[in-house]
Amino acid sequence: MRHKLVAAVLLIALGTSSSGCFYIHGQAPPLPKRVRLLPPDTPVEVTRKYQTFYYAWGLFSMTRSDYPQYIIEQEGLVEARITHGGLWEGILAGFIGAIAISGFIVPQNITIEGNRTPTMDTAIVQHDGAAPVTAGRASN
Amino acid sequence: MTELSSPRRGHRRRRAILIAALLLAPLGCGTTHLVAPPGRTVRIMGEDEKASVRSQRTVWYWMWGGRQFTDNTTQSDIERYDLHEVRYYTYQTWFEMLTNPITSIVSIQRRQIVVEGNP
Repeated sequence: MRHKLVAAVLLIALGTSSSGCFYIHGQAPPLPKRVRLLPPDTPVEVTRKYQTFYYAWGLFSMTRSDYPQYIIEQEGLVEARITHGGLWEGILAGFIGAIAISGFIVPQNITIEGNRTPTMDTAIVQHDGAAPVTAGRASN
Repeated sequence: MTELSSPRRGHRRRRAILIAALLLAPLGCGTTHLVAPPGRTVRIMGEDEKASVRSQRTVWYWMWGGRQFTDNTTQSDIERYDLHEVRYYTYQTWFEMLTNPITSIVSIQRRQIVVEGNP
């Protein structure tokens, strides 16, 4: 009987650990801001990493889940790429899951990388009549 | 040194397996990347802009998210739909919330990646 109870508690702990139904949004600030998406290997001048947290298995965000657009805006990026997840997130999730909270808090890593001046050769085509992002490579 | 009796040894082994499973279950660090394919001009869309293309797929990982079985970037979606503007979001479903801690015991994880955009 005692073993069955322990097994049931462990099963519930397993079922509620670690994961959540969080949303991470990767999008640009509102128009007319124009941000070009960078390929993975291009060099960048700005790298911002931050941790966002969700609670109640991802139902609610402790911070704003659409942070990338604010970082892009604050840093004045015209070129950017976004990475979600990473090793630290996994270790932190494992640590939180291993102690009493058991998945109630879900950490998520977000990395924004980009440039404040255009470095790519082609201008972004504008659809709303706004001025195009400057074409050409930034001077070195 | 006294040797443990067989039932006791079996009990200890089961307990060790259970503890290992509990420690491994919460681990997971699968990454997703909003990046453009090399040589393409793609703009990141804002939240309120209309998107005519929506692509949702599951990304599978192993090694607790350290390696991926399937593409974890937006590059293939941008190429498949010839997108010139794009935004993405990533999340775990309730189903994944329940299954990931179990499959994580053998290092398997999954997440959803949704790519929206316009050609």
